[in-house]
Amino acid sequence: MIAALAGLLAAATAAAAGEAPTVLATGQTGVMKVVVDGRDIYWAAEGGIFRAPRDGGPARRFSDKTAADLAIDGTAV
Amino acid sequence: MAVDGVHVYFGQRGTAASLRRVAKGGGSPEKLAEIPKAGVGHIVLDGTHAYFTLLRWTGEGGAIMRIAKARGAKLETVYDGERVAGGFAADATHVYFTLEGTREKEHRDGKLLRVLKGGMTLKPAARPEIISSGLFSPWDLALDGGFVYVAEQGSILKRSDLGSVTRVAIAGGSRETVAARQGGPYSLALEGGRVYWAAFTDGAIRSLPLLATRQR
Repeated sequence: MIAALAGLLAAATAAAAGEAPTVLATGQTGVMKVVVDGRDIYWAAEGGIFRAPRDGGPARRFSDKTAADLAIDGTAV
Repeated sequence: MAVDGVHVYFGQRGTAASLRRVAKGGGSPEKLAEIPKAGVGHIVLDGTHAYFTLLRWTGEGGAIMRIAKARGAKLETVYDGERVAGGFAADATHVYFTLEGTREKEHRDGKLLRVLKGGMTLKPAARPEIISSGLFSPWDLALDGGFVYVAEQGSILKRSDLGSVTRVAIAGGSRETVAARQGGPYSLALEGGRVYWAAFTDGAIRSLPLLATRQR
């Protein structure tokens, strides 16, 4: 109980700090789904499946196939 | 769509919709269940079952179904009620889902719920528990360390209120804002101590450290 309260208090402090989100990509149209692995983030949008480094960097088209849903495992998207 | 170590599970659309799976290495898809007059929405897997949201063609309602991965298993109903939105996840004991809210209330009455995995097969049938209510058009969700993170789309039409990413303890309590005014957050994922989301209205992909990890 005390640990839970401490966690909530700490989280509230962090939220109050107001850290701005990191923007990994902009101008995406019709994003349907994001999935993440240890290195990259992938998303399905109009025009295909895109990929960008999780820690920031240019977004690139990963596949020109359009998808309404994505799933990821250790070897494939 | 969902993957485990062996198969990819997916919904087949059409007049005879079905839940299917195919080996990751390829081959012929295997039909696990027919879904008459409905479609398969989101799928999550555990070691023994595939769970999926059912989208009925008629009426406003929806359901969560499950089927054991073993061949020849029968469909079971976990939840039957309002139409489930985009959020769907599972932990060891429960499935978690969102209800988008009503048009009458401009989707400001969305809910985050969970129900025991056995759901309506249990005796007595398990009833869904409301973890949080008053969400603003909630869609996707993800679980992490006792918390549920939710993408609240807000009002896509009213650009003065563009939604937020929030989190709430599974045990209940007030919702905390992780990031406000986020351009209609829609899809959300957690990995490596961060939350990632895609915003539908402004087309951005953003991330933040999970609140719990920020002070480590």
